[in-house]
Amino acid sequence: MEDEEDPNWELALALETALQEDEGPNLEIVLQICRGRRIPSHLRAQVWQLCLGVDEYTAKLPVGSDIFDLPEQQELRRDCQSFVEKFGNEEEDRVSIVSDLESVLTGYCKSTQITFESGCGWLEVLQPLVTLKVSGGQLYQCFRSVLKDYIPRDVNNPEGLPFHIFRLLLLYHDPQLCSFLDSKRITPYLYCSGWLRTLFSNVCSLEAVLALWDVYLQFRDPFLVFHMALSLVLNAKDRVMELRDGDKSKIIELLQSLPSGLEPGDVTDFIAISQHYSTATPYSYRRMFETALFGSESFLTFGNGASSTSPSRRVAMHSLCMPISAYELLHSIRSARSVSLQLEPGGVEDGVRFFVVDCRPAEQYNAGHLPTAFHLDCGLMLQEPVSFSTAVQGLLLAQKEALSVGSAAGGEHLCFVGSGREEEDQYVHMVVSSFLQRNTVKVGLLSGGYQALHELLSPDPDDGLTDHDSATCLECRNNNSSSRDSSPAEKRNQSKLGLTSKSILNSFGSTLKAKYAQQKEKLIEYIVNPTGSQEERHVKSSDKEKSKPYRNLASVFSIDPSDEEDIKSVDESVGERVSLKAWLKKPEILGSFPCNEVMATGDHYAGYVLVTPTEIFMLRETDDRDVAEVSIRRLLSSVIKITSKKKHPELITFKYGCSEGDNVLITHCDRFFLSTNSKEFVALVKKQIDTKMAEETNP
Amino acid sequence: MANQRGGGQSKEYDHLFKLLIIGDSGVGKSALLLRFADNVFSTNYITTIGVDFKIRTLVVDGEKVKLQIWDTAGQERFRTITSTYYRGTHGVIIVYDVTNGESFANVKRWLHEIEQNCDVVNKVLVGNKNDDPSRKVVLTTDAQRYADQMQIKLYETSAKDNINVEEMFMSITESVLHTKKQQQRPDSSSNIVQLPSHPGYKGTRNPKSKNKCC
Repeated sequence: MEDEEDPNWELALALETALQEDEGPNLEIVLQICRGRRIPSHLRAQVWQLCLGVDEYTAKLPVGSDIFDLPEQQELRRDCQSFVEKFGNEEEDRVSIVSDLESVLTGYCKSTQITFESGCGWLEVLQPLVTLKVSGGQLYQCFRSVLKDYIPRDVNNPEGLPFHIFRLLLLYHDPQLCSFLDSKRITPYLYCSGWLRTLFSNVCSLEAVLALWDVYLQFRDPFLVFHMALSLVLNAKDRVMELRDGDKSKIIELLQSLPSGLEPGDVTDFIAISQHYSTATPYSYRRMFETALFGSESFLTFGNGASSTSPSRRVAMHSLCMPISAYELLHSIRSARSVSLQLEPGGVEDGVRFFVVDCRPAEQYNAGHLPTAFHLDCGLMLQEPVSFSTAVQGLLLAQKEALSVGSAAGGEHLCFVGSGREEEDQYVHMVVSSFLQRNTVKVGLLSGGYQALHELLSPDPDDGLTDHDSATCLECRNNNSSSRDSSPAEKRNQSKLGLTSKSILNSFGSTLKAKYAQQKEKLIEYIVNPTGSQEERHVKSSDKEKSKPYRNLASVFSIDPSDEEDIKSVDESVGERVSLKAWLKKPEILGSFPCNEVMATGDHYAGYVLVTPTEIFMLRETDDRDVAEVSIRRLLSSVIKITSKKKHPELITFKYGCSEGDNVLITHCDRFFLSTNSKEFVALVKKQIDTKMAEETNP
Repeated sequence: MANQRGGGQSKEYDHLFKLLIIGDSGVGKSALLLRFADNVFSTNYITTIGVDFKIRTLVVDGEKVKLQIWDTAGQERFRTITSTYYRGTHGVIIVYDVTNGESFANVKRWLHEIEQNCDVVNKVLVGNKNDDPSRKVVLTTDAQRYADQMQIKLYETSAKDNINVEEMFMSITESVLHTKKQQQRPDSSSNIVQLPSHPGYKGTRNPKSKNKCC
């Protein structure tokens, strides 16, 4: 079973010396000696334990329990026995190995309260560890450590986060292959779940696994397994495509078996290629998902239900393409600039370099953008497809040129920048979709859009942006109006809101008529001349003063009478990330209720619904415990109906709009799910509306 | 659309409408659009990433109608992105696959999504892949009954064999145009450019939601 002895005596000697240090072995020194090479088998146990952070102290911790009384004990024992039978050991050995395995697994189940299930991959993880021939306590600690730090959470769930991440990686490096597999409905779960939950120990020979883990554990990078899987799949593209007309099970079979031919001698190359993909991928996704995937035992859950509302899974699942954080983008631009300024084309850079494509409307671009951003007018795609494709060609040419001259603007990786507001970004999504549909590789989208970038740069956005003009910059204006001080902007805003609530409650008739007359005028204008209200494209910076704020422009295609409403009720603070604690303590909050915001799609987001004397807010929880996102802000005065079903009083529907006589115009709808206190919540809202009504009618 | 500014040439259309195609993944939304816009069909199925769109101009009653048709990805993963495209849509085409009962059962969900995302909109229900009777599982009578109940027109189409595709797109275009003309009529006494079958329609569709609590 042992692999052939590595003839590298020098390595063995140096390692032996380092491992016998009186002070105990030093991980860094050991790693320096190993330099990503395979470990001589007689030293493997020591090196692995060192890499896994298992020391004499932790190994002496109690293993949990040696009383085998789990409800699933029978199944667990049977699995251990049949697993060990495959080894072909002597009868005597077998009994002792089975008992070791059973003891480790039982202890693990007891201490983590996770139920053992057949096929969860734990036995495969234990197999290479058993060959270390360490004590029961050490084996247990090694096992725990591998599961905690290297096996992604949620990996036994077909809809789990790891598979959405893997799909994003595949889409990034080969959109064609990704789209092909999507079309065949072959999800990554179907072929790579085994690899991820056993670190390839499910398909590779034991010799190969030992060699692989020797190197893998030295890298101490839990994401490397994703890139190993990626390099296997990308490498098999031609063979996969050959099966295009065949049955999908054939393709899955092929993919699953990809690592089976791996020999110990291939390991170094395999890991080098995987590392190449790892460095050729933006790192944002690691930061976004690392804590959700690694470092804790609580989420090694099975089945579907466990974390269906996990925000990170939602992000990974609903991302159109690889998300790039504002931090990474800025960092990359800064380091690219310093390299190009110092005329060091070979300068060391960490991270990938981006070619930035700013897709916001021209007037927003002109009010501030990244210095190296190329502007692509997304509206063009719809309005003038020919000019748009010329613009795209120009873009790709510019990218090529920037790359060839080593300019700071150059980058193999495309990073599209939208506004960060979903409604506004539909054209951006359309353009990104079209790039992906044309199989463009390395397409990323700035997560949170320009908004996030601006926020990251504040309080001094001028520092990282070009042409930034706080008078016309939408983000600056939004920030001003949502700050708590009564700045002039705030006052304007308040008076605007005040006006709305009054008009709806008091003088419905006249204002509505005026509004709809206006609306109709606009409407006719659009129909007669749909381009009428569009700005000039490619506005020169000298024209800046003339550009109008985006918000006051109705969409060209919209003849929806609710437009006017939207402008008022979609307040600037929606989408803003705020401190949850601070908000819950605000004096104007009359009540806050934990609830879930239920979307039309059935998705729901956990958070809090807050009631103030005039408004309702929904704060969505985010990955960061104290940061919440304002997802809903509605005036109480616009509430038309509050309904709930008799059978489900905890699900409450709010409808907003305005009414005149018998006509009710519903413009918005929100649903909240409150597992407790739903009645109190509704009562509070009703009370506020009644108070407000009374105030308005008896001034 | 910048034609007006561009060279001042005569208008290339009298009306511009935005249509949206929705429905489960794999029912043939893109195929219908490709057949209608480019008159082609490919047996090689590739799932739509995000969104796509095509443009075609039709002549209805002597008027040029430019259609901007948005094709959305049916996959669940794109739902957040695609849901932003409902705004400003004049007509929605809800597609199911006559050989796939589940896709028909999900029509209800799609209708609900429309209701959540837009106020007034013309709709048409389309049972696609209606070209192989031996594989058909959603009976015309069942679909028709449901369509009647929902007050939507039903078309059974085949993008592959080019059956009923043109008719279906023509029908939704006509309804959208009709709605627009009704809204523009000066004698519509109310100033509210609004819901033809309002306000009862929400109630009739889902009587339970009438349970007011305030």
